[in-house]
Amino acid sequence: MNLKRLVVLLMAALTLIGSASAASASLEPAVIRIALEQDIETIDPQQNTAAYTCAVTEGVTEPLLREHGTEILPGLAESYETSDYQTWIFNIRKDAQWSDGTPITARDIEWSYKEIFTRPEAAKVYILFSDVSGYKAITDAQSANATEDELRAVVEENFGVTALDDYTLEVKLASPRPYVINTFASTAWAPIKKDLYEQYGNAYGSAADKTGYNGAYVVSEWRYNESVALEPNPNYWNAANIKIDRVELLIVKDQEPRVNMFREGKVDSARASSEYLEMMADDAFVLEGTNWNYVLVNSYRRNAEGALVNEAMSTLLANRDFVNAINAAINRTTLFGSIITDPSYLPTNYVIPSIINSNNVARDTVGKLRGDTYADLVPITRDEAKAKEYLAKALETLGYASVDQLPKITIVCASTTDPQTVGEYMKNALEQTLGLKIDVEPVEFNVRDSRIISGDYDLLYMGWGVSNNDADGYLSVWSDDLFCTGWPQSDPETYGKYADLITFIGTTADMDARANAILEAEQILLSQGPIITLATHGDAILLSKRFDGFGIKGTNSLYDYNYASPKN
Amino acid sequence: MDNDLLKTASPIEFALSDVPDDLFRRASFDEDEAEALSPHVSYWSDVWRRFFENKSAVVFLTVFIIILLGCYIIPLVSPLPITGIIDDSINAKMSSSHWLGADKFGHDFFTKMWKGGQISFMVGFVSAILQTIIGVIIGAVSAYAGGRVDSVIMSIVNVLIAIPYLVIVLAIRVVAGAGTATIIFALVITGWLNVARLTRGQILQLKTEEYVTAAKSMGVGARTILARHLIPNTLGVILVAFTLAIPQAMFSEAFLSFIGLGTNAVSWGSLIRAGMDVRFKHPQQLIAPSILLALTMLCVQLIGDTLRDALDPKLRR
Amino acid sequence: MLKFTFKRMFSAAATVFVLITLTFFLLKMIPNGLFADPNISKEMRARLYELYGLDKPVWQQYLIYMKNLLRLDLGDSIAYPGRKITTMILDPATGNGLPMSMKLGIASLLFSVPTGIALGTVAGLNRGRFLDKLMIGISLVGVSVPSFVFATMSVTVFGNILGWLPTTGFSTPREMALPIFCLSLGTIATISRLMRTSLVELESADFIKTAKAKGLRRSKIVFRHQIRNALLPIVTVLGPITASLLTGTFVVEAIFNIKGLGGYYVESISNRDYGLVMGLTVIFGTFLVVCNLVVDIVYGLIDPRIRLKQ
Repeated sequence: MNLKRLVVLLMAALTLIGSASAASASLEPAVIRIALEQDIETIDPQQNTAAYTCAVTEGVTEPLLREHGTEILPGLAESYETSDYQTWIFNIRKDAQWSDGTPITARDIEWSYKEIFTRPEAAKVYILFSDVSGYKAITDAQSANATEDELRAVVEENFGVTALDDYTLEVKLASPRPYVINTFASTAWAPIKKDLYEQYGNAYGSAADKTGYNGAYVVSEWRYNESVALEPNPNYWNAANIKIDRVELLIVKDQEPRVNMFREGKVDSARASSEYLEMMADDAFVLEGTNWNYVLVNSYRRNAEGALVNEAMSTLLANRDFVNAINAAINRTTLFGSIITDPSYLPTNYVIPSIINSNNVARDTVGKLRGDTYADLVPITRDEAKAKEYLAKALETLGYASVDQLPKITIVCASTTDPQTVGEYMKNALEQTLGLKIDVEPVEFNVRDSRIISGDYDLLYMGWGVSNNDADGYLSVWSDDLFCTGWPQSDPETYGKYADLITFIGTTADMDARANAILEAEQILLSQGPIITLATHGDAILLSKRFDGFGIKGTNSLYDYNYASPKN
Repeated sequence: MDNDLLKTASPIEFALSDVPDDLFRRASFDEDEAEALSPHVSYWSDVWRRFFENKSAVVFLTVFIIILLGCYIIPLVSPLPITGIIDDSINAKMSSSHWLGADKFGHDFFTKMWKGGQISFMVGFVSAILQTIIGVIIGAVSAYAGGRVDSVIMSIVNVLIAIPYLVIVLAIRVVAGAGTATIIFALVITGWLNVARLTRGQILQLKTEEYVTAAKSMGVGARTILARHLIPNTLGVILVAFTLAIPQAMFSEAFLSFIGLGTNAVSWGSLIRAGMDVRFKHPQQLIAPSILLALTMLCVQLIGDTLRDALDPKLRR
Repeated sequence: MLKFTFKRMFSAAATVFVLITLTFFLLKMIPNGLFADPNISKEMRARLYELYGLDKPVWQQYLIYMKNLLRLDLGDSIAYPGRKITTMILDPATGNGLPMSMKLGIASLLFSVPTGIALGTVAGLNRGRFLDKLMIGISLVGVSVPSFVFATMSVTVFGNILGWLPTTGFSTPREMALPIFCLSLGTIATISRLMRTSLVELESADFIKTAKAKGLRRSKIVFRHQIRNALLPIVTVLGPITASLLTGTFVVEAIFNIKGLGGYYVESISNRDYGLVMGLTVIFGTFLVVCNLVVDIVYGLIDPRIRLKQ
């Protein structure tokens, strides 16, 4: 009897302890910790839109609309209307306010969008406003070295953003563009707080107290180079539905400690290379990339004054057979399947299908036209015979007796692991298959970029993603010759045709015709353009399963925690 | 010579003639004594002897020579290619054909590892030789000239020593491009400073020796005094500095390659860096080049130590 | 002595000045690649240069920098808009940057110097015996294994495989163990070898022989004379060792995610964040020079011949 009572007592005690610990567990604040691979440069949404920066701005700022997974949800605007996809009316919510309680009106938003063009430090994000009417007039004025006041006048006159009243914002685009809806959800479209901006100038966003917050969170503590802590914003319109008590973004630059911290449970998410993903498959999340990796082919290598310098090399690289020979000598399946550590994909199209798919309107018109692949233009394995055939043809056209007479070709690449591996792969593969002489020149990222914008390279390996989440973004960079490939100089005819197509794509209201034009442009680019496309670049992320609704999204920001809640 | 001496110095030769032969005992030589008496053992053969007396030094010298030969011979005789892309053996595991597996391009890791040593050795030796030569010349000139020349040169040396080493490496890298020559150049630029300081110290000491004063008073030119008397007499110290510079340079090369600022060629540093990325799947690709690098370092250090002991009789036991 | 100290201090200050000047112009020689984002137009790039005062002639930029430096203002960062270089190097809110590197360096110094001296003494006094050979072996491994190899291996073995110690951070003693150990190994090896050598050298010194001849107890000879005098050469290497510990924490900081200055070192140069590179140069250079100065003065105090010669 006694024993039985003792057992019962013990059981009761255990239950009590159990329930007590369960209670304390539910009282424990829900904290999401994310390891970022770079220090946050600034949280001014107008100065930076890099993925790791957006890990903060996504939480503390609020653009017109919100993106959660592939859904578009209301944000600063509680609703929007558009009849022709050219004029968009956003109904700004009446309770929209900054974290200190100051209201946000449509006029504040208009001011904020217009201010951006007078800020040189915001030059990187101009592109996110390129769909708005008047953009071209503004950039032209900038190119003409207009003074700040002149620029202000041009923006005031031309820019297609107008506050109709305190709660209605009209955005007029250059042409009907149904596909720009994701852009309205990018952090660059979040307003900045006028009084703080006027006080701090380009230091706006450089410290917790120098930034305005209108998002779900405010920055409660910012330890440079170490961490940014976010706490819920009580004045956020949707504050009642924010279920996470604290978000901590920890800066861990090297992969080793990042993965170790994830293993030790110190963070809930961290970027890693595929090798870890294989080892930790249960926690791994792979985001199919929206960034293409290319080899740029420079057919007009120029000096600082813009004059052609290396004529023999430029003629060689302007020869399409020669480029095709290189193209056929690369085994993309082994290069991106087993050699590169980051996840990569070999999509069947140049304009990445996931972009089309994440865009509800465009999918119907462009998506259904697809299905055939560009197997001959972007071959997935090496075809040695074909490569040699192309090379022979190129040598004959250019009058070289043998491959040994060709000049030595330099491949510029960034000096980090993967780009350098691609460079070395190209060297090994091209020397082996074609007998070319190749030099690899790994340089720092910004040096590589300055080589690009000055057209100072033979071949250059790089990645490029779209910032406005549309097929157009993949295509128009070539018509602007942003990367100084010399296409307009070496093949003006094809280039002209291509540029016309891009103009058409950017202005037409006929979505079917647009989709066809996209396909045509894609075909021209891949067969005649100044690039060798390699693969798309994905992101491999370790993600703990402690939360619902905490995930990774493809465009704008990478981390999606605003709608997260702890799992029970 | 000793025998001759005995013969001629024997005045009672014939007086002993009737003493029976069996009473004679042949004088035995004490080897040590013979040596002590011998007037013609040069300093360098003495050093040589002392060096080879140290058994562990001999062992490590042998190991060092084996590694050195391995680096130049194994890549030549290996049937497995380390250029091009070998699709079949990409990331191959350890096997009888690939002793240490294969890397991401399908290159045999064992062969590649030895090939990587060539760069390490080249960087080590070439930069050690160059920095020693430059350092000795500048240090000697500075010390011998003395006065203002000396103080100017030494303050330059002191400033250069304080410049962050990576700034110099990066500057040269950007101006001259990445490559083995860049690394060597950067190491020489930063490395000669210590040699110069060392040489200067030595020469300052020797400068006051009598034979230098004698040479000077006989009208021997400064260049001849430096080249004939001063530098040869500091050779011991210079040699030690040289043996220390080799591992230092190899270390730096490995470190720079490890942080991605090294040569583009295969070297131990870059192999270790690459091995870190695959250390769970192919641990041998991290461990093997690390061991080879460490072993080489160990050998060079030990040879250097022994050489120093051999050169400096004060430390002789 | 006062004159000697003053002279040394003056030359140290001159060294720092020349160092800053040299680094400044060296950096300006490197192609900068700033704002090279293809999305930024040429004209906006020019405006950005203007914004950061980079459009001025280099000598003018130099004068401006030096003027600000006199007011202890290291300027603003380019890569991190609105952030002060002084805050980045010496962040009072977090204790990151220089204080963190100092913490790591001093902890390592406190661990490695006594350990090195103790090991060297044990070896030197037991010359030729087992303990000596063991110590020589250990220290040779210490100088032969690069710290980056050792750090990687120990993280993999003790952290990932055995799971004995945490592999990131630097706040609790458990977290501090691995980084300090990895950083100290080389120093321990250097110091113990030096200690051993100078003990051995002293064995044949005249005053030791005299002491022996006087019939002093061995323990007294060892502690009173040998060890005390053997410590002298250690003082000379302490300067460079301290400087290299505080500045050479690069790999260890990266592998263990410690927020010292090491991380900024390569990053700032590749970002062309001129202000930060210059700031680090000023800090490191001054530090190195001060370390050497202190050693010189201390040595001058210990050994009167040095200052008399000057």
